[in-house]
Amino acid sequence: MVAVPAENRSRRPELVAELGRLGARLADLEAVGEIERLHRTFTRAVADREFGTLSGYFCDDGVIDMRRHGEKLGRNAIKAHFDGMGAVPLEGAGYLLSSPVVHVSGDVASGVWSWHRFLASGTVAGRPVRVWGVWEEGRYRCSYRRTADGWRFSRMQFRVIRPDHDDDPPGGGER
Amino acid sequence: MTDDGMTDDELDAQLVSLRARVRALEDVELIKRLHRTYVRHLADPLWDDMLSMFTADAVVDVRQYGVRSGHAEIAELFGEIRAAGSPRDGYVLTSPVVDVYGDLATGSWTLHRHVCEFPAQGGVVRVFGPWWEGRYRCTYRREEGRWRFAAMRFRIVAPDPDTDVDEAARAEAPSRGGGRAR
Repeated sequence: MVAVPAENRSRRPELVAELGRLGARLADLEAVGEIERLHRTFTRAVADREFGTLSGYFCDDGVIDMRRHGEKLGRNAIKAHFDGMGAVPLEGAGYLLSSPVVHVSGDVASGVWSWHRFLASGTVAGRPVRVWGVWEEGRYRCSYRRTADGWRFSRMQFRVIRPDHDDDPPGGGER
Repeated sequence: MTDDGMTDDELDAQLVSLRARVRALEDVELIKRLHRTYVRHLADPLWDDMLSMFTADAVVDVRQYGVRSGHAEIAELFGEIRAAGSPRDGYVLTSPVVDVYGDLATGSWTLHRHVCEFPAQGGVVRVFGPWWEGRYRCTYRREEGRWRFAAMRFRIVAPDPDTDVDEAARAEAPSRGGGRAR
């Protein structure tokens, strides 16, 4: 066996391996971008009251745990939940989604977000009036999964946490 | 030579460039994650998880509290803010501009704080509408592979700027008052 001088040995396998590692890191960064896009588009659809589209953002076996509604499992139950939101009148509310912290691990990911809703309507003597200033702060804690159709929510927990926390006992209280 | 005609050296040079670009993107993402988590902890508040987000020699300059250096003084600062109470305010952190220079980075952010509870006649009255806009100007440093705050300056800029804080600091020793400032 004849030894190949070091200077003549191709470094190609090593370089290709490095290229693969960089590709994986880039894929994770892209995944964070795609997940942020998914969640922002979902929240914009909520704001635009496109409730009929919302279940499409979830995995078939997705789970939601929204405020005081309890857990709903599967796309049909999720669809029923969001369809019900259409019956709740809410006009002139602004939505602000911010501060995503997303961790990707292969084909699954987790994410925490802050959410604010700015309300602008109230009722006085049975009539709608403009009332400025009222806001709510919420938190999304979600899991995401990569599917054949792209990233989808596999689990979504949402709570309004300030000024009044959804998990406080009825009638108020401190947490 | 590779299939696309590149020599190993040319491929290596491209990888060096690509590695630096990927690392810069990752660093910006990690720093955003750090700052967003910090403000969420501040809002929630989770004081015990915040000190480790600063380098041991970090310098923090927050509103009227004055400049604090090192973990012991920063812990003292958190204690003072904690003692001022935990109002049910809303925090919105936006508009990050982060620049990375190796193991150092700078970042500026906008914070909006929505205040809704005010002391009144021994109780608390809820009034919606008031808000503050503030600016973070920070330096971050990577230590042992983890980004931390090395310097943090925060001031309210609207509607009533904290300019008086800096004027007072120049005129006399820094005050370490209470209040709701964070």
